[in-house]
Amino acid sequence: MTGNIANKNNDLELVRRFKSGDITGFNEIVRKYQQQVYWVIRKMVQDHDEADDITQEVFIKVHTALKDFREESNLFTWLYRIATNYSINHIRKVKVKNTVSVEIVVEQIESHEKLADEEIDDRTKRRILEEAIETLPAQQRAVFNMRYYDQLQYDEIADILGKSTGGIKANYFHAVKKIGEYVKGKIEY
Amino acid sequence: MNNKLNTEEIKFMIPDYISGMLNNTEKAKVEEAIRDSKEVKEFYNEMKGTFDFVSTVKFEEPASQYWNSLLPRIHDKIDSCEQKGFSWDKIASMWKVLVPIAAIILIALVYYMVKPSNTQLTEEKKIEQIKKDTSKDENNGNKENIKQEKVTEDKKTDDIVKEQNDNNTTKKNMIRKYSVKPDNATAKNIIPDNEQVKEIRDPVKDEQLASEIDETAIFADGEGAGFDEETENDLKKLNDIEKETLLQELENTNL
Repeated sequence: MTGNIANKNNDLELVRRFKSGDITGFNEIVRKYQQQVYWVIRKMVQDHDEADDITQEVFIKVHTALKDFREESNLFTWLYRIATNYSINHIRKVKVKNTVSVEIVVEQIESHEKLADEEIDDRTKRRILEEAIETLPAQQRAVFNMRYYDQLQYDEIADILGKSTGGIKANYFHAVKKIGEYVKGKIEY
Repeated sequence: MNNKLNTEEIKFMIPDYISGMLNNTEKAKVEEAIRDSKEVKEFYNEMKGTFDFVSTVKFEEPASQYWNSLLPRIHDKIDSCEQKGFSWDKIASMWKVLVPIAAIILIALVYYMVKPSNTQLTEEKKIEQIKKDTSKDENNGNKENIKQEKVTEDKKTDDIVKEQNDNNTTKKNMIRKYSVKPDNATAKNIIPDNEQVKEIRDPVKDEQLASEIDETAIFADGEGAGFDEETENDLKKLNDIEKETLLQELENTNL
């Protein structure tokens, strides 16, 4: 991900092309960042279909707002911010629904004994991790994904979320700790 | 306390240590703490287990054609939004404006329904105005009355002063007219030499006395004198000197 941020040299040119009425500027921006945006959203909301809808919404928003984009800003940081905010809003909207579904799943898993790490298939592992991530508040979830998966610097995360670097460090620490505690309750390392 | 704080700081660094995101100095500090502190080592082991588990979890990748279809689908949506001139974003943003406006209108309606109307207000204001005017008139009337009274009083005072002056003048004239001025020889005989009598014969006091006693009445005839017929006859028999003597005696007795 750091590499992606470093590879921002032609972003300004793409933005200028779009502003001058050349739609290929926008198309290139989508092609360049669609996977990053999708995965930011996907790791937040966990579900592919939801991630697909939100990804499209994000790029429609980009298409609308790109004409007002200030060129001194980082395009990827801006995209990341939009994607994270859309994801956080989505999570908050379906919070009740998710809480209910998590409770059902937790009951199902709790009915079983702890499983050894080797015995668990990929699908179960993924489900446990998704459940663990779903227990996190939206912001901690965003910070965990940005730091662990996208390996963004704390300063970049703080800039995207508009929070202090110290707060972001604390968010990440607590997110990892909570995930560890949840996973520890489900499986034996 | 300091050690504990350091331990907490080290714990905060452990997730980044496991992810390999620390610089060499930080890395060395964490490794030292893991070696020296049992607490830090246990925490490191727990975190390592978590990260090992998370790293083994693979997310399902979308189908390869998904990435090729995403851009056309985005354009479809953008076109449909532009053609319809409709977007949920617009609706959402409109609601953000419409809801407060509707709330303000509702509050205004309730306010005007509950509060007295403008005409009622005007009536009340009119009543207040009338009250104010009345009180003003009363004040003005009082002032005028006071002025008039003052003028009247001044006039009365002037009249009284004038009247008094007139009376004084009349009295003075009367006294001058009716007072009997004895000739020097008679006066010498009649008026005693002692000081008490001199005081009584003081001209100012005489005037006062004259104003109090109508001298003419003593020697007046008939009803004006207020005497019965017998007394009047006796008085008529007296000559001038005897009258003077009688008058003198009367004065001395303060009658």
